[in-house]
Amino acid sequence: MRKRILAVLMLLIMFATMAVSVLAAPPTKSYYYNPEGLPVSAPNPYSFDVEIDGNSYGIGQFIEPEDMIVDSDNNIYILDSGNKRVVIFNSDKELVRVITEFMYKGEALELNGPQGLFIYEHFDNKMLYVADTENSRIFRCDLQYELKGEVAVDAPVIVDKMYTKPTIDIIAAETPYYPTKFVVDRAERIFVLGRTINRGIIKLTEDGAFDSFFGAPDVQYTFAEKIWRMISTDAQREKMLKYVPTEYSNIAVDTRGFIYVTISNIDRQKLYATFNSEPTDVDGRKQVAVIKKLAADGTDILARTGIFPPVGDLSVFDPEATEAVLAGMSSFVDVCINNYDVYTIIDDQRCKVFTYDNEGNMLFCFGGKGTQYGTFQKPVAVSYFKDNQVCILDKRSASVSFFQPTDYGANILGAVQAYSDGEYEKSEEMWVRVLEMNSNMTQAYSGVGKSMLRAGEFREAMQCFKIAKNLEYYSKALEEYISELIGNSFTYIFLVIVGAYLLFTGFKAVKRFRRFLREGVKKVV
Amino acid sequence: MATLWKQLRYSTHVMFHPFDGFWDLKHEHRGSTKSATVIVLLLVLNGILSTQFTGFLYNPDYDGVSLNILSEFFSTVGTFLLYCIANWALTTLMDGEGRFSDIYMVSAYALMPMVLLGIPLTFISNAMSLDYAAFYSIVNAIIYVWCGFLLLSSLLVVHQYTLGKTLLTAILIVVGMAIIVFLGLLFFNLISQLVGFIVELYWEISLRFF
Repeated sequence: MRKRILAVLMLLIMFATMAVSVLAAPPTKSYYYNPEGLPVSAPNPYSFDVEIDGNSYGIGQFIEPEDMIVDSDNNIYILDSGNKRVVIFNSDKELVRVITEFMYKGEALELNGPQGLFIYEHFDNKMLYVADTENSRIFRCDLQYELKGEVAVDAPVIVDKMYTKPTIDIIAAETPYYPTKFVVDRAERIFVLGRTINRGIIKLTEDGAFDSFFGAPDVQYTFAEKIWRMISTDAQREKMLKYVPTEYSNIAVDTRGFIYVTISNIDRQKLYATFNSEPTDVDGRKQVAVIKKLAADGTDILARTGIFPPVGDLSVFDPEATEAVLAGMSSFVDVCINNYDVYTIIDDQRCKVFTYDNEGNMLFCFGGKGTQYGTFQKPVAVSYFKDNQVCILDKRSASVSFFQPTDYGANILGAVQAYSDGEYEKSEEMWVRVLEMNSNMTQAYSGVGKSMLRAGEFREAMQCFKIAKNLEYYSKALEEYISELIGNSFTYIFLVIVGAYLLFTGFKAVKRFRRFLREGVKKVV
Repeated sequence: MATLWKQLRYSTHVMFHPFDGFWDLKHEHRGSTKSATVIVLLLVLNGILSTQFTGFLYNPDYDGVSLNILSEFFSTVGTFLLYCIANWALTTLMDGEGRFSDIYMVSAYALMPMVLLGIPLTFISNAMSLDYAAFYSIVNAIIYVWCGFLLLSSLLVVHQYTLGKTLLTAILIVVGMAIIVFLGLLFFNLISQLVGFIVELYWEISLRFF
């Protein structure tokens, strides 16, 4: 009897462990693109940790939340647009505050379809900026007392600054102004994306006055379009104005103040053709960039030195398709950047999350479309949380999912970080560990090669870069190797040349001498 | 053997003095079909070496194992013979003075820069970083321009054409090569259809009656 109970118990334990492993397995498979542009399966870089929504805190379900941001203390701010409120969680994912009332000059503000929010941090101060889109305004409120719990929980938040529609003299005054996404830089200038404005990012001064358009996407005419425009009349050209620059879909700022923008409505056919073209065609890649890093003068300085530029999924059946789940290029809706320039982009076409390093090499991807934990229905915002964790706001399921790096993902991120910190040996070790888990990860060979290059093992580095098809670094390693080879053996090369010369002249002298013996002095000279 | 070596050595003279050289090849018997065949084999060797041993930076898509020497051989020799045949077929109709053996010989000699520059370039490319990419592509371009010029002048000299007629013939030769390839494919396709039909007929009959 006892034995039987034991057996049943054992079975139960077995089932329990099985159930756990089933829970831990993510619903979608991760993959990596090899140098040929084909997907090869890869271990999961992130595992689903927890999902939070309004109901789990008893504050009512979120309704179509539009934006989310995480500040440096890992407080999470969610713009719950449908409920016209901002919900704040702390780093332990505990509810800190629900802001439903905003007071401006003694009057309560009513939010109308807000789409963006931002936290401006200055020492201890945390300023919350909200884009009240349909009311054409952005306002600012100081949250430092609210976050410390020094104010009553239900007290309204005081709005201390209001940025209404700026007068922009180069566009018509009746053009509506709908600020959607925005960032605030260290000098409190605001970079706004307007829904109806496609001339670039609207740069507002600290006072809310219009400063300039920033980082306007260039209009790219093909040769045929240029000729067509040349021969058409003015009236026809007016009608051709539909050739407008693409609009940015989202905007983010990294810790050093560089602005990243994503573009979701790009010419897909062009994009597909460009990333399949030559890797050295830097300008071509820039023209159809779906993510840009903007310098202070608005030029795109994002590095795209990988085999393929950062465009998300490469293996798409029909680059023009926009509707079908399995076809069409990725369409990026948000980006977040960590402090060593690794950035994570979300794609709302297939609900995938892609991570790239600072040179534009894909590191990994995860996620997928679905209703299970770890998949999304309509991801709208992504943010890093506690260094390497990622949290993603899903608009349709009205929840935030948290992901923790697995051993595989943590090693990749750690290796990139160690390299950027100058710890090349540590980086190499971590890349080797990545390769043990996934030998298809060609980027790891590049990583190992870079560390070897730093350590002076040029020949081994060359082999690594060859596997990774990293032409640029292979070239660097080759140069070092050749100069080392020549440097080391210069004495021998020199001796051989001198020796050969001496031998040659000596041989000639002997010949001449023998001729002299044979024929006498007159004929030789 | 010594004469063969001498005949091959003459190709360097041809490279730098094409009009003189091609004339002497034909009329002074400075070259022979045998030496031309050696040059064609060297061309095959050049093709094999450049596929296998070009530096990684200049041949990044090659995996190191998929080289097929036989197919390399047949594609090189086949293209060369195709050119010679098209050349011969056209120039016979257009009052050319060269015989087939002459055409074969001068065409092979005209491709000598490909061997003499191509093989060293293949090996040197292993030591060239991307900084030298311009140098690599310029040498490659020189090879092609030089060979093209030599082919044209061989046409001019061996058939005693004027310049205009030479250019016209060159264009026609390219067209002729295309036509030969097309006819060959058509013929091959028809034959395979015919064979397929006969095989099917055999099976029909054998299944029905036996």
